[in-house]
Amino acid sequence: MNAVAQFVAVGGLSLAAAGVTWLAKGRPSVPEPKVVECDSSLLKDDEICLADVPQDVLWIDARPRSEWEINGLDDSVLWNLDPKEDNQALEAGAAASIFESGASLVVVYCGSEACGTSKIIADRVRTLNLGPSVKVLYGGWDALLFRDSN
Amino acid sequence: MKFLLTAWLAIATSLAAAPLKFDKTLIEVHAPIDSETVTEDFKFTNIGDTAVVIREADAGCSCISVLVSGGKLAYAPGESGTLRANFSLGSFQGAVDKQINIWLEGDPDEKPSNTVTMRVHIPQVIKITPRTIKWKMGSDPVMQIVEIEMDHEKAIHVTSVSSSNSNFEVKLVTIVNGKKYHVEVTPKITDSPGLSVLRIETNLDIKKHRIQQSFAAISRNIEKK
Repeated sequence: MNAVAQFVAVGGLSLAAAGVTWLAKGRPSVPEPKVVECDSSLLKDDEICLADVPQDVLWIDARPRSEWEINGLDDSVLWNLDPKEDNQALEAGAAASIFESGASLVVVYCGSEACGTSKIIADRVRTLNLGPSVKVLYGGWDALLFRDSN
Repeated sequence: MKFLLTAWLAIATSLAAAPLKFDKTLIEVHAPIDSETVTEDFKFTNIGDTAVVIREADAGCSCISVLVSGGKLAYAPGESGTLRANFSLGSFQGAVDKQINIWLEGDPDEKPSNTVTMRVHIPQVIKITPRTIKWKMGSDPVMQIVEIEMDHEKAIHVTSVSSSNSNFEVKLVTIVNGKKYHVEVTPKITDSPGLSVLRIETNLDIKKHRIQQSFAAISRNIEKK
């Protein structure tokens, strides 16, 4: 095989591999979880650093059910935006938990800092107006995953 | 061969810098009342001098899937492609903005090269206010009203209203037939905390909107932080 043919072959194989990865996974690589550094002075009003979350809190897990079932926080409540879920049942379950817990703060977390689901769920909790303040955990699950490092 | 490998590496390295230009960075769409999903295409062109490779396109929500036309990730200068966003409407209502971030090879995780927005207006055909009616523990068990308003070309009738908690009595009152209703809610006693899910069933022929819910609560006094 001559040099030009080798060049074409290497290039072709690289592109093919990338294409197969995309088709198989739906999207290219997902960033690895990272240690979350949180400065409360830089947060938006609806966000909270893990270090500032009090004991008296109700956690809402906005990740997919499969992830919540594996490692959701103890006593956390599932409420996500998965179209396969019965959202009214999730809403009613969350409302009951918020009410029964008597917690003064509800904190919502989803998969990562980039996940927008927790903000939407937090808005929905606020709309219920059941009493507690509602915040979104800065860094999402990444913050919880590395909570012993923070 | 060494020259060719060097050239290949140089090309691969240069892939990081060149930008994509999207025809539209905001696409606004009004979803039909009965639609389950909305699909929109964002067309783009590589206007840089070098090839680019899309590393990731993500909306940060399981409700949106993002695909690139033909699964093609590498784009030569001047080459165009399409990013297809498929939004599962699920329980969304009102105006919803979903941002899709696009990372090219070489982009840091925290700084995608491009961001496009899909703004979807999802009809709210049955409006319920307030979502929760509340009594303080020990207060007078006075009747409170939940308003139901229909925003649809056809009449929508409330067929039944029920309470999950027997301490709350509910009565449906028709204000304008097919358009506006009241649910009168009265607790029997308020001496202990309690929550009820008020289930409101209608004859709407669109399944995902047909049944609505609101809440009634006799609450402890909770101090907001």
